[in-house]
Amino acid sequence: MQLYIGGSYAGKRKAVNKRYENASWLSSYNGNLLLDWKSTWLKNTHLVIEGWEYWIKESIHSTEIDKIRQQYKLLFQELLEEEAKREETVILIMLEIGKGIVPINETDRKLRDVAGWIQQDAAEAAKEVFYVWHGLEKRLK
Amino acid sequence: MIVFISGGARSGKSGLAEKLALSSCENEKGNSTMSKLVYLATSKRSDKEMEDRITRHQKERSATWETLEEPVDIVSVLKQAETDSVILLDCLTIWLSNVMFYENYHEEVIKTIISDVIKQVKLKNIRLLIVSNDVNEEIPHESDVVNRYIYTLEKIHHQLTAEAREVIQVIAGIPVYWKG
Repeated sequence: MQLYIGGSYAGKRKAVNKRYENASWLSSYNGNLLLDWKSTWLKNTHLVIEGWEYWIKESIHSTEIDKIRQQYKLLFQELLEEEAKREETVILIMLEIGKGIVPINETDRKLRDVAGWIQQDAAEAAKEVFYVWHGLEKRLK
Repeated sequence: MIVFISGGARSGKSGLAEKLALSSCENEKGNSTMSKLVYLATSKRSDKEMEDRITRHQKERSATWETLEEPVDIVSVLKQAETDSVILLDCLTIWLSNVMFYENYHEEVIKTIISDVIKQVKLKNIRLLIVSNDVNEEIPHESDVVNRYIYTLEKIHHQLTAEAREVIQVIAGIPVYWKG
C-alpha cells in the first residue's frame, strides 16, 4: 500500500497517474462510496482511492470520533489483505488539511482532527509514503 | 536560472532568499563584473501599514540593493533588467492576487506570463529568486474565489518548480531542498 499526501492542487493525482497507469479509481469527488472499493477494483489493475475528507466528513455527524478511526484502521487492514491476495497495489491519496488556523466551525475542527489521525494510521499501514508539494514529490517512508 | 522558495507564513522565506541572493552576488565579486542586485517588490502601497512595512524592509536591506516596485508587469522588469543580474521577487502570492483581483487576468493569461518570465530568465541569464507561500494545506475554503486563487497559484507553482534549478521549502528558517 502506498500513501500520497499533500495540499490542494499540489499534483498528487498527476504523480500517481505517472507511476500507476493501469489503475481503478474510487473517488468521492465522482460520487463513489468508500464501501464499494472491492467492486470498483477491476481485475489485474491497481486501486487508487481518493477524496477521503468527504467520506470522513459524512460520518462525523453520526459516529463517534474514536469509532471512525477504528473503522478506517480496519479498512486499511482489509485493503492490505486484498492487496496481497491480488498481488496489486493500493494507492491512497489524502489531502493535507491540518496546516491552517484552527477552524471556527466545530465540524471542520472535528474533521481536521479525525483526518489527521486517519492519515497517521494510513502512513503506518503503508509501505511507502510520498509528500507532494507544488508539483514535486518526496519519499518520506 | 530560477530559485523557487516557499513555506508557511513567517517561516523565514524572505530572509533566506535575501541571503541567497546576496551570496550569489558575492561569488561574482572575484570577477571584473559584479552582478546587479535587484529587489522586485510586488505589493501595492495600499495603506499606511503597507507603507510602513515597505519602508522598514527597505531600511533592513543594505545599500547594495536596488528596489523596484512592480505589482503587475513583471515581464517588463525582466526585459529591462541587465544581463546576468540577480533579482529577488517578493512575493508571488501578492503578484497573483494583483493580477487576478485588480487586473482580472484569466488563468491562461497568467500561465503565459509565467512562461514569459521563464523565457526572459534564460534569455538574459538572470538569476531569479522567487518567494511564494504555502496556502494549500488547510481545509478547502467554501468560497469559490479563494479556491480558484489557490488552484491558479498551484498551477504556476508547478510551472516554476518544473523549470527551477533550485526548489527550497523553508521550515522555521531552515531550508529543505527539493531540487538543487
